[in-house]
Amino acid sequence: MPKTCKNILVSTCGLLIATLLFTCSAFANAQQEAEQTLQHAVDEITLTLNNANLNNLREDSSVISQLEGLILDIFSMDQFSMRTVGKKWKTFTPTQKTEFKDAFVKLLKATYFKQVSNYSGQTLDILGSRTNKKGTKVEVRTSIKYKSENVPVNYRMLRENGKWMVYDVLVEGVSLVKNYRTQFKELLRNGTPDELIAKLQQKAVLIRQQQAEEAADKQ
Amino acid sequence: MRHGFWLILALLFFSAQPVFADGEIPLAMTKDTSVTAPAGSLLYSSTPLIAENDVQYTEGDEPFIEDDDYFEDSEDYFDDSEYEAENEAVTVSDPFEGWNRMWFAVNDWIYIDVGKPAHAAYRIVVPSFARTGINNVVVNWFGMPRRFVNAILQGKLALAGIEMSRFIVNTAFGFGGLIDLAKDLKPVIPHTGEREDFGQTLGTWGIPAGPYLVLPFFGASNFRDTAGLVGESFLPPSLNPVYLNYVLFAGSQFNMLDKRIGVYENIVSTAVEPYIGLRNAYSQLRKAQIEN
Repeated sequence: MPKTCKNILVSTCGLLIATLLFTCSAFANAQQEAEQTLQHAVDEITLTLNNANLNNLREDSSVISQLEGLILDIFSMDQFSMRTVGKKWKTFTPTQKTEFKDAFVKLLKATYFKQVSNYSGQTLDILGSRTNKKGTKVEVRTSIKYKSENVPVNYRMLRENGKWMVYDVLVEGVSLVKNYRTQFKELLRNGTPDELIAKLQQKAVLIRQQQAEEAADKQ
Repeated sequence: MRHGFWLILALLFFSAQPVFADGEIPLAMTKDTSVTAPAGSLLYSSTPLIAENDVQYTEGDEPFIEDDDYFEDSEDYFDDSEYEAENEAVTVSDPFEGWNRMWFAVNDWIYIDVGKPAHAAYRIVVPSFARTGINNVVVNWFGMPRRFVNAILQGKLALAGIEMSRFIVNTAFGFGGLIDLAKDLKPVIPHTGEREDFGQTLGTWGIPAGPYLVLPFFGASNFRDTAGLVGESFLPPSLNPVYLNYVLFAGSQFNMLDKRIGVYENIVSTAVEPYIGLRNAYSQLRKAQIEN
């Protein structure tokens, strides 16, 4: 083999390897960052839960507001609202968008806060992740140990303002965004955005009433 | 030639890097996004949820157009057009909505106002370990043959092997299945806990889900899964006389009712429109189960 030929071959192969290495690390970085961000958030939430007294929880307890802050730090409410409403989000006015977000946060808080008192040291293990072609979105696969069963939960994340944020949660393959989107679609088919917001607020009030009744029954 | 050898080795090594990194071939590296994730980790990854064959767009609702600024990357395998497409598919396949809503309301009453207090009383009489034991026996003796057959029918031979070995271990060393010993053992192939049924087998064979259907007592289902449920009841083991099977089935269902109601309540209580929420959750869950 002539020397020039060999040189060309070696340099091309070298370039190929370099490119491969570069692309690998680029994607690995996105995945690693997303996983680390999620792990960090989960660690902080776990720490808060472990240190807090979870008896006699009320919706305005300091633990709940602390947790709310931590969750909203990793969970992008903007993305979540936008995606659950879908195409019609464009027809919402800026005030309606904020109102919708606030109402949605309140509803989620009202529905999920009573779950906090059920916490008893459940752990979340990160199993791995995958990215899309551009490396802009990452799906982190995790497994939550719940009552001796492993529940697969996937977190879909994207970079928002330089920080990896969760925009969808899939429990056993059931996407929360998709689920809410079908519901909102049905409500928006005949109703206006304002009616949808009112419906969210009503539901939150209804849940609080039910919880108050349940609490009264126990006493 | 010596250089050539090392080059090839280096190429092989470096191109295999991502496999070491997180245990699977990154899909992002391949151009073909229709390739689904490798087997094994599938339970934990939601494969691209492609719209079913029966996607129809009603009332002039065109499919999602991707020129939105929020949903720009249409070629991604978890872009947002799939969210929309699937929802369309779910929206149209409910011709019996009146019937379904009626049974949804009745079932809600049965679960929450009858089943829940009844099971609370049952829990006082029958302690937790006994309930788990009863469930283990039923799952071992009556569930295993069905899951085994369906795993084979879906071509999941490794899963069939897992089912068989779990059955042997639990029957031989777990007092005939009273204790789920196999759960705490570290197997060679980890058991992800997936359970195959005949509805999933039919789905794997390409039979579409058909219209959504709410069955009395059983709850959310569709035409395919109802057919699967009926078909499965003809599979062995079967008790003699036949009505004992129904008693056993009802008993085992009631035994674990708190679990079922827990899942049901989680879906319904977090929903703004509970009927739609449950319908969508069921369809997504079945799709994920069939695809893994």
